[in-house]
Amino acid sequence: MAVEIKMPRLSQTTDEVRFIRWLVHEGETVKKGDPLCEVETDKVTMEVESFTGGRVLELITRPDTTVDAGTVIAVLGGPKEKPGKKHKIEENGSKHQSDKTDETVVEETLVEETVSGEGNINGQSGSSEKKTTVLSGDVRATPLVRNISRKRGIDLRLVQATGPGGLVTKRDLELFEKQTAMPETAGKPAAPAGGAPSRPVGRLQDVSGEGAAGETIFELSPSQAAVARNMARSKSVIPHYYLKTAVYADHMIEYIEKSRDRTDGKLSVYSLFIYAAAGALRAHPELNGFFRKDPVRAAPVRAGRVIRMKDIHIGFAVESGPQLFVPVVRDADRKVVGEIDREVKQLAVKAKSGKLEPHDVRGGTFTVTNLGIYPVDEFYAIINYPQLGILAMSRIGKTIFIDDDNTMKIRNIFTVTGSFDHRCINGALGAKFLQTFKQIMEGVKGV
Amino acid sequence: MKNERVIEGLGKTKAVGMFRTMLEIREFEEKIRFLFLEGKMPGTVHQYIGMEACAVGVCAALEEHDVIASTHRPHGHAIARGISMDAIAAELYGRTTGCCSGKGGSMHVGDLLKGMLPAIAIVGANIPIVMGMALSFKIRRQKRVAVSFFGDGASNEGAFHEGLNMAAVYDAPAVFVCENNQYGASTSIKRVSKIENIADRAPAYGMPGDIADGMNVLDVYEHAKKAVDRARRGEGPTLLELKTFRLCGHSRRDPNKYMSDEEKEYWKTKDPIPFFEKVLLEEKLIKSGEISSLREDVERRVEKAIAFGQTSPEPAPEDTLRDFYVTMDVPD
Repeated sequence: MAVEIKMPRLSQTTDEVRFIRWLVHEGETVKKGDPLCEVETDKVTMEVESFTGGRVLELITRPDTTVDAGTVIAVLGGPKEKPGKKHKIEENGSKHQSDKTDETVVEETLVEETVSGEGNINGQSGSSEKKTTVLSGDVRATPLVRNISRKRGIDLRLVQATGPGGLVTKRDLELFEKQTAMPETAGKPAAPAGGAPSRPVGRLQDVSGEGAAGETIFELSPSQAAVARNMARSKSVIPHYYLKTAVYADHMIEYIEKSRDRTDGKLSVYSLFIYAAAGALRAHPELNGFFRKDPVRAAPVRAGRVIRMKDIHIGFAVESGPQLFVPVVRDADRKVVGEIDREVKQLAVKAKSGKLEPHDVRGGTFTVTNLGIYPVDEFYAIINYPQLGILAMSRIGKTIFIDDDNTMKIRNIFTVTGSFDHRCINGALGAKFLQTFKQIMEGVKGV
Repeated sequence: MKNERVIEGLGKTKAVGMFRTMLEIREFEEKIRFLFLEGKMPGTVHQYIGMEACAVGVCAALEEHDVIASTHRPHGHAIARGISMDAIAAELYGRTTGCCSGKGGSMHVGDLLKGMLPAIAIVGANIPIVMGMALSFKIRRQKRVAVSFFGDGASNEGAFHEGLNMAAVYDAPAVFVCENNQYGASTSIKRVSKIENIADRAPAYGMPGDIADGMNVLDVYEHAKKAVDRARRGEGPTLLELKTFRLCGHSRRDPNKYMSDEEKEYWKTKDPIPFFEKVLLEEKLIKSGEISSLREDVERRVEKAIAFGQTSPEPAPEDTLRDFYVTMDVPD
């Protein structure tokens, strides 16, 4: 009977290890406790020993790839079994992942391999942006990575971090070097390493075979796993507070109706929303950036620091089935509404069809979200970690409105809710920001 | 010659029993190691492989009502103190049948009713606690002894100084057992201590410092007995240093590359289990046939314990709120 060898969980901080090389060959007989392969965790290079004895039937994982804990890396069998043949696996129902991806994919939504870190919702790390004012010493990296970067003269701030908590890993460095060496490939997603089916890329995977009767179980795609980690982290780390205000929308509706005759067609509400948020951020730059806790070993007097970003890049939430994407409109404060609208529409189409590229989702400094097409009167969004706030827009509806002159009118309004990080954005600051946002939105006819 | 004398004092049953316990610890830890590689053991574990003589030798010198306190590496101490492997395995799996109802895990195994404080994983942290327990025995005029196990790394913690000094001042019936396995995680004791023996610090506190061969269970037992008896007589604490070595990584994820191959090879030749086996055979206390059946029995016993752990019930959500406050009589 063949036995699957799975990658043990070798690090306390990550499930991912880099597979370096095999120490055995197919057909070789190994004893319980013999080293099988060499791997590199986020801390150390080490050998993985076999938990059982037998003949090596198949070595699945290719050297120089990234492997998650629990992935089947090899198959061992009895002395009579021949390598290279189909093996009968001891455990019921646990086929190789390579078989699975072909057979039971329920939904195909492409997700980029590189979108897997814990930066913010889109997986990027705020500190990797070129225009932050922090020093290289503020980037989180292991001593090993710092050493290498010093020797090779790499500015760690420029490296896309994919490790836990925005940690720059050795792999990130290598990728960065490759990209800078070959500029034409920069920004493109890394190809799935080595062709080994180490992890399903970009798919919601049906793993129901593992569940009890009546259960259908889906595994999160890597990008959605990053979203999940980010959300959990944001809600558990950031002390959110919420401010809401009703925004008078008659002028905006008029403006949108008028835009119907444009060559590019009717403006979307989302575009105006982004435009107003960018304007409000320009007036209140305190909210445009990130909050970072100092790493443990940093100066003990500091609890954290706010990184204020000069450029305003606004991410907006787009759903695609069960998936959430946050494409980014860059330099939103320097664009006219029509320009923003064109980009928003392009990015939304890309998101829905699963064609977003890493540069489409990278670098956001603030986020907005809109459930206005649904009967949602108001809602409270989770901050896109490690940003400082998020604005949530609800549906536009008619209501009785009391004007300043104490007359009642029927008007269109919507509620916008801001969620802010109370560690560094106090209530008054959030309120002023909301006020400016409201003024821009309500005065939109003058755009 | 000396081994013969110690064995004579122990008697055949007890000596063979100690050998069995050492086998149990080794087999249990080996089993856990492979379960970890198989992905069937949750969390990380700090293993006692190579150090079996320390726990078994010291615990053999204790009475039922004595108390020990352990560290982040407690499986060996728990087995040596007589906590069932079923309860330890279940604890590792976080099951309700575990010795801490599954709420402690690997680094907190223990059972006060069996004479072992749930292990304290913070380095050096059990030393002042053991001092306090010993002091309470003295104040209550009980003829009991409290034993603290800690490593060489703990000897440079502030708690070591505070605990040992106060225990000496009050002649507390305590034994401070320093299992000097040469490395505090990856740091060689030679890099962080200017003196050869940790036991040499004892005179500075006004207590005797003693050294035993931590790879020879009989030597450990003899020196531990001396220290325990002294404490029980009310003459105060002892610092007992056991020279030992772990024949495994600091934790399951540690490839211990900081140890040189020569060093590892040297200590492997001092493996306490083959050593004791040889002594028992020479003294004709056991036949080689008996040893293999003993080994098989231990293997079966460990298999059973692991199966018990794996199949025991998981705590229910409502159990979360239990054990915060307990109304109980403090065991004497």
